[in-house]
Amino acid sequence: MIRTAVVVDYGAGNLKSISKALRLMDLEVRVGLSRSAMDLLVLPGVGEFGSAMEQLKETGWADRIREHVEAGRPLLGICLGCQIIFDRSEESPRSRGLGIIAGSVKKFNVRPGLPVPHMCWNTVSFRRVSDGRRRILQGLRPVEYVYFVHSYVPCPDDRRDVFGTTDYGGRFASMIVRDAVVTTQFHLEKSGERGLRLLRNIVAYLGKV
Amino acid sequence: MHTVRIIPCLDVKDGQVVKGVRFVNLRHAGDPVDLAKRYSDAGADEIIFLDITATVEKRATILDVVTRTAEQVFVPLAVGGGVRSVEDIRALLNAGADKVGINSAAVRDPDLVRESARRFGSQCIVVAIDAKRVVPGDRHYARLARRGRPVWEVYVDAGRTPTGLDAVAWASDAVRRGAGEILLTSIDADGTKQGFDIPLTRAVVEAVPVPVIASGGAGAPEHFVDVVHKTGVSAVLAASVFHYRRCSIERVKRMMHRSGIPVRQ
Repeated sequence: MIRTAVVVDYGAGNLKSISKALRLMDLEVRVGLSRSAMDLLVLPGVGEFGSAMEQLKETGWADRIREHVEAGRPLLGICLGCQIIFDRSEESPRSRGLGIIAGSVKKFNVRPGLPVPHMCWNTVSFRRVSDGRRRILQGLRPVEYVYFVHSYVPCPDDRRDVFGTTDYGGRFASMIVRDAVVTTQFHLEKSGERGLRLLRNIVAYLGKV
Repeated sequence: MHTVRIIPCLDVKDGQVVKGVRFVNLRHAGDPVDLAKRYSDAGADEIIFLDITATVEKRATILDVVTRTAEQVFVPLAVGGGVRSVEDIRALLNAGADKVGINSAAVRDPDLVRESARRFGSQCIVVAIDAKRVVPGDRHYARLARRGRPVWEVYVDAGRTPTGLDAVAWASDAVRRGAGEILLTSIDADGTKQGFDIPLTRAVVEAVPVPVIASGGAGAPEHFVDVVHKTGVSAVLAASVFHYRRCSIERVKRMMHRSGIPVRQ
């Protein structure tokens, strides 16, 4: 069971909403560069791939996050937090990501007329799974509306890690679940009551893997 | 399927929601936190606060409203009004805003758009443009008018000061500098409840690759359908039509859905 969460602060952005949402899940939440023991690490979203990675390396967090994941402890990444877990991104070709999930992050390649950033509510279609990951979908519909703000998309090498997909000028992986690593390209903390329900399920799932 | 956003806008003055007709004649409309919560529960896809009398002394008021709203509302929250510096933007983001709108300050110092987009990311930088159709007699008519096609001029200082800038050209420029979204308000249509400014909205949507929010003139659900069908706008904003309960967000969305426009339900 997860009791505490540390929201990693790697630059500017709204950390308040995710912290508030996690507190609604009865978690004790610490924001910032706390170095105490922790149950759940949260990589929140907004910012730019390269500068985020730079911050994480400078503060020593990049290594700590990798060790945390290697020890099998839970990690939740949201939006940019769903991108820096990969090896690299077209947003910052010279930066290396955390390399937790094999794959890369690519710029949206949509037809002219479809605005980028992809900034709207869109549907996530969850994959039907028969393993333990199915607990994440308790009380949810197979397709739910969630809120997106991004210009780059996650492209994992191993399709088995893809847990949810979204269509915006082509289908992309919008949710990834592998063991104790869960990431969403959409903002769980900005997706209303359904987003909070999904977050609650994720926290429950991560408490048991 | 990606959806068109319906966004209630709360014009906040001294911590209270107000709404005027054509930027004047303000009437009291309620508590911002209560209204934000009510709209979020009713299906609003996003909430926008516009601090319309933001002065340096009163800046703390809007930060407090944003903080309290972010505690209760779990949909995207954008805030604008009186934003002049990177520090203003940082304070609003830290208070719980997801996006910050820059209007007059972006016109006066376009580098502010570039600098804030670089620091915080384009996705949270909205450039708000108040535009008015150029007509004979306007100070900048001779410079801006084009034969055979309409032109709109950018106004700043809550619609009081004409700038001599072409609104469509300014929208493109703002996006080149890093704006992730354009909030486009028609001064001619604002508060009239006669429908959105279709030619203005279409001209800006066609000119920029980022999402555009149409604002000003909503009076009935048909107006929302009309502006989306005729311009392809990404989001539609309204204030008084929702505040005074002329129609509900649910009704607007039902009508859009029936007209074949994808909305979140």
